[in-house]
Amino acid sequence: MSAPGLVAAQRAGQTTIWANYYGCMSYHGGSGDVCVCDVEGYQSGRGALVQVTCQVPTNFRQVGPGVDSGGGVLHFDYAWSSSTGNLSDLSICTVNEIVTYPGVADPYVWPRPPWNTATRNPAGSGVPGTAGSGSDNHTPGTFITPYQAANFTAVQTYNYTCGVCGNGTLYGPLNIVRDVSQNADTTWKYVITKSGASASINPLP
Amino acid sequence: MPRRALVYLSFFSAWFIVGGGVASSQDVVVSFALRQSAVSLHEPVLIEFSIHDGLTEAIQFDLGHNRRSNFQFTITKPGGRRVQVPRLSEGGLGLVGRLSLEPGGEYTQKLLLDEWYQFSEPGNYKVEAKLVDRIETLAGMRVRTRLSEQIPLNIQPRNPNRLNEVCRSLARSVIESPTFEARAEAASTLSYVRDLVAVPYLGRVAREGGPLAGTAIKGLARVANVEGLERVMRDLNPSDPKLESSIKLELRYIQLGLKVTD
Repeated sequence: MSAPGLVAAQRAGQTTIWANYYGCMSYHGGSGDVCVCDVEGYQSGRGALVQVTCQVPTNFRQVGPGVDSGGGVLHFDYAWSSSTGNLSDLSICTVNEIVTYPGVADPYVWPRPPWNTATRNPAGSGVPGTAGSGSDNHTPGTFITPYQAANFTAVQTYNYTCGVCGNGTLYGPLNIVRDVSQNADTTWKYVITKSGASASINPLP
Repeated sequence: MPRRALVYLSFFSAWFIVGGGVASSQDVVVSFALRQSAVSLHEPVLIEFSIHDGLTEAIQFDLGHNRRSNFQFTITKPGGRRVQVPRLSEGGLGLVGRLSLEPGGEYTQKLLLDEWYQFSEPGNYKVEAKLVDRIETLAGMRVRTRLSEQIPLNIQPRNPNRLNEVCRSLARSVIESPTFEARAEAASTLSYVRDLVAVPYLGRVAREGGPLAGTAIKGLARVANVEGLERVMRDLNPSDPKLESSIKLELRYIQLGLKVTD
């Protein structure tokens, strides 16, 4: 109990809360407006069964196809619901993405050339669970010449963290494949692919 | 303490383009208002963005990834040099930026200008802010807006007492606010106070802030990037080897110019 009469749940489950009383059992009027206690005592109350259920994000889903939003950015929209049916119950939750790059080096240096980019490994970001939706952009990085053919695959999962209600995976693993290759006319192109959708920069500058 | 003053950065009148002509209409009002027109050095600089649909029909607009990447700022420094600040990254999972408003509706959002630009010296600045994406009716008719005007921002000399008060209040909000959104907003704001005064408060959040510990660690790394890791670790009491290791890693990310995610 954090204060008299106030109980905070530590995890899901059920318990019985008893409210008992210790204090004055009967009074009589004294002089003026003063009440005088006759008998102090203890009275046991009743117990009440309390069920604590954890609210977590559920029904995580992709909304529409992934789209090439320009500049080589591959864009996805996602949505989710609450296990209670009410998104506002997810106020202690975040919905996150975790992206793991090849190997164990942190940061992960993208093949150089053609890229001049490094990212945290793993990388992650998140939004409040109450949002009910999120958008995810997979950016191309920055490039450096002379270009060379190269590709790598990052693995992504979406998960939730809900404080005392724990963590869990919502979606994934998904492969994010980035590829730089040469065209027949000797120009170069960049293509990113995930979940059956792709975005590109063709030709690379 | 500077009095809170709402200074409107811009006031837009909107009109419709119909078949090449211009039709009169009620207004779509977009405004950027500095929370305080004068703050001390390293205090957070907060802007309130709002958009009001004064039309008789709904409008739609896109604030960009995480409701931030479509904002553009230009800063005129003391001395007159103009800096167009890079827009924020589009990468990773963020809030959906495409929003709509019903007639008479209003959307407001706080922007922490320190996420875009680090004010490193006192003086008189001018801030221009702009939403770079178009505003449309649901029928696809474009609602024109003008570029913002410049508004003054006075950065006063560093005031450690004032900073201490601000950081204490933010740290308390991180720990005690009832919703995750409020706690996350306070943590993010505190993490952009690039001053040694913030270190004990960021340290507290790193230890007690649960899922927001990472935000605090980024903040400690930002301070270390300015003041040096040694000074930050000296002011973190008690010392914590695991925390130091996390701060060092974040500092390396900053120095390499790494984005948060892909």
